[in-house]
Amino acid sequence: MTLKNKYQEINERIRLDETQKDDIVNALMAYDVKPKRKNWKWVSVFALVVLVGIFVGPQLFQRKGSVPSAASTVNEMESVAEESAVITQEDTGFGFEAPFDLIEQSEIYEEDGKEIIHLVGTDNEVKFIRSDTQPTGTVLREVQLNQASIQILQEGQEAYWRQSDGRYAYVILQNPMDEEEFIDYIERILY
Amino acid sequence: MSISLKERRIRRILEVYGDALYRLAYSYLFNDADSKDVVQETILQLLRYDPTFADLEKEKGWLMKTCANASRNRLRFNRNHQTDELDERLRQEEKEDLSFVWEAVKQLNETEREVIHLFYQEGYQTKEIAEILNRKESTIRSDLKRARERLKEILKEAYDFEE
Repeated sequence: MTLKNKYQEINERIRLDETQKDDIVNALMAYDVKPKRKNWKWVSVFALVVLVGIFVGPQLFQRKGSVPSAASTVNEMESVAEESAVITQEDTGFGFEAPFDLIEQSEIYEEDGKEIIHLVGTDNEVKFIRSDTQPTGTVLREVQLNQASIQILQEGQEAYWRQSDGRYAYVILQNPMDEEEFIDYIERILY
Repeated sequence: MSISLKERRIRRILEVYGDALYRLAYSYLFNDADSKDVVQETILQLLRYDPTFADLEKEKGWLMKTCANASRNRLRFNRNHQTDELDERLRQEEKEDLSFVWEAVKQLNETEREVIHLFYQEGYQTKEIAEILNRKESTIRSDLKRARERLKEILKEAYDFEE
C-alpha cells in the first residue's frame, strides 16, 4: 500500500457526521446573512466623479485668459502677461517656439515699430523681435541655414537674420545656450 | 415541514463539500471543534459574498481556498495542537495501525501539510493547488517534494512505503 493510499484511508475516517452537519446548518440559519453585492449606485457616482474630474480638471488649471493669436495681439498691442500662470510650449499659440518647456510668463507687444514676443521660463527667457530695420551690434560670425544668413552677435545667445518677407528676426536669450543647440534652435524657428 | 432555500443551499454544500472542507481544516488544526467552526465560517463566507461559479469545480476551488484561509487564521488565533481526537476515533475503531501516518503528517509544517493534503486526499494537480493556496506552482512542487521526502524519512524506520 502506498503512502498516498494510507493517507486517503485515514482521511476517510475524518468526516462530518449528521449531528455535526445539523449543528452547522442551525448555526448558519441563525445568521441573518445579507449577500454583499456591489452597490452599483455608489459605483456609478464614483465613475461620474472620475469622468467629471477628467474633463473639467485640466480646464481648472489652465490660464484664465485665452491666448490670442500673434496677429491679433500684435495689431492690438495687447499684453497677455499672466504672472502666475504656467503654460506649456504647445499653449503659446504665438507661432514662436520657446527653447524651454514651461513658460511662466508670456507677453506680446510692439515697441518703436518692433513686434516683440517675450517668453519667460523657469530657468531662461527669450525675446523674439521682428522689425523692418536691421538690428545693430557687432556680428561675431555668420552661419548659413536654409539659405538664410544667421548673424551671430553673442554665441549661443543673440542672433538675427532676414526673413523671407524682408523683415528682420532677432532672438535674444537671457542665459546663453550651447552654440550648437542655439543654431539648432534657430533652425527650428526659422522662416 | 418545508425547508427554506437558504437551508437547502447550506445542506447541499455540506453534502457535496462538507467532508472535503472538514478534512482540509482538520489537516491544519487537528481538532474537531475548530475544524467544524472553520467549515461553518467557510459556508458563511459563501452566503455572504454569494459568488457565481462557472461550474462545480470552480465552486469547490473557491470553497477550498476560503477554507484554507480560514484554517490558517484559526491556527494563528489559537495555536493549540494538543487535541488528538482523531487518535481517539482511531482507537474506537480499533485501527491504530494507521494512526502512525497521521502522527507523521502532524510532524510536517503547515505549508507541507496543506500541500500534501490537497495532493493526496483531494487529488488536485500542483497548478490547482497553486491557485487554491495563492502561491507559485514551482513553489508548490518544491513544497510537495520536500513534504513527501520528509514523510518518507519519518516513516522509513518502521515501514517501507512505495511512493
